[in-house]
Amino acid sequence: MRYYNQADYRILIDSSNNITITDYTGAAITSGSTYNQVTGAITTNQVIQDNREATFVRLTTVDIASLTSAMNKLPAWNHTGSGGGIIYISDTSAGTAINCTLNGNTVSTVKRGIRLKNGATLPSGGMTVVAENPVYIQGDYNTGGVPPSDSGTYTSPTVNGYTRTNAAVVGDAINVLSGAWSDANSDKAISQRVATSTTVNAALVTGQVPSGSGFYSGGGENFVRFLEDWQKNSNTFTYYGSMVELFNSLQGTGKWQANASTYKAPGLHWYYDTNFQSGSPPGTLQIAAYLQQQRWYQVY
Amino acid sequence: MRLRHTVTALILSNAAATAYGLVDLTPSPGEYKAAGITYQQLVFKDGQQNVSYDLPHGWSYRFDGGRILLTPTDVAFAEASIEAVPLPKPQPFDRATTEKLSQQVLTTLPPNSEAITITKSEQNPVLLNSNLSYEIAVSYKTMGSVFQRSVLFVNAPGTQLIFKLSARKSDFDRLYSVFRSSVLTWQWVEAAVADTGHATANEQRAR
Repeated sequence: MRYYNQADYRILIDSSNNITITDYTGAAITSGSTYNQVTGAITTNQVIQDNREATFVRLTTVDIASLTSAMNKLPAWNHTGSGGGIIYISDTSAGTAINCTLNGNTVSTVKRGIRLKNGATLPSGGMTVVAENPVYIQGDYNTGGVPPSDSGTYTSPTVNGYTRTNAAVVGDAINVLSGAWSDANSDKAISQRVATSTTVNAALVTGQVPSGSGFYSGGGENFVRFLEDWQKNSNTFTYYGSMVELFNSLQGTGKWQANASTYKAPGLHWYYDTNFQSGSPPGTLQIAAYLQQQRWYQVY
Repeated sequence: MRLRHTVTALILSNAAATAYGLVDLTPSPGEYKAAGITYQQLVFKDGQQNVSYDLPHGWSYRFDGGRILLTPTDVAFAEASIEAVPLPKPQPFDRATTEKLSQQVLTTLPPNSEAITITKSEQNPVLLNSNLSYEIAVSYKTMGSVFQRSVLFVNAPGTQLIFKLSARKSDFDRLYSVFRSSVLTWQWVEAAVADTGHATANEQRAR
């Protein structure tokens, strides 16, 4: 079953930033407390300049903390009884030119993205976020706060007292923005996009831009995409999870490049999360194949 | 108190005016290494600041007539250029200006061009350090082939930068992507930082 169909809530954003919410039964939620709580956690029509994509990206930002505080009050959340839930969110207008405002200037873009912000604390039963657009995880994710791993103790990726939940993020591309990221500085020189050490604890399922025609994909070390200077102050990216690459990105198609104006790579401290041996993030990732043609395709 | 504010404002205004000037495109070539890849970089002077610009990978360049001319090594009949012209005062990309720029683009097409069509006229396709831009793209036929040209105007303090790319239609999209990525490497940096750029590159090599 597709993630779309498994999701407790499906959130779709159109070109005019209208938000449509349906629950796992397909029932539309158009008003009331559930609608208000979900839409209250979403900010639409933000924009950044993504130097890898060489253009602007209109972002829909999900305030995970705000959403999490509402989760247990939402009737469809954890409808499977597994303890956690799935949010499917997509801006369906990718490919359509839209005017946005960055630093007071009108810009136009056909690119879309979903940003997950304030995601340090996730619902205790786990959470899977699925997007058909590129995802931008901003700041620590599933860490309970600022973890010791952000200050050099890489084997402690959560704050004391917080148990990281089984989490997954699925998207067309996965970008990590540090806690120091500023949208207003996204169109400025790399010297004004200095990262701070950041930790993400989640399985990541995403696509790549493959090598070919004189370009390199960036390899496994660039599975996650960056847009900041992580080298100044020797900032690090600590990761506990499991990385799955299933397809070629359809929207985040900017080719990898290591030039100093796109990003300066962080110190990478990556670990397979052994918690996944005893439990998995909400939802079931399925892969389908046309057996006759021996072709794989992606299923959200 | 008010006088002090006025004096402070004048000093800041003067500093801003002298920090930038007409970008001198006389290049100082250099290189740095990142993720195992060597990037060719040009450094230009802009008043009290420097500008760094990474060449598209595998493209050659030459400095000719005050311009930077860029050529992809594996594609015939394709060329890009970077020009800098004085911009004595801030210039909005209003209708009058964009019409003038459109005419400027059209009049600089090769002589005897046919089937000329403006295919794009877009405000702010990029913001270089928050500087406004305007892009005009045209399609035209010459030498028996259909060509495309993109001209990106960026209004920086004191300078209008003009990034131009021309190529056969069949090659254009790929080259456009590469050239546009290189445009975004255009960064103003403090002169002291740029002067130590090679040291930084060495530090990167040592990592």
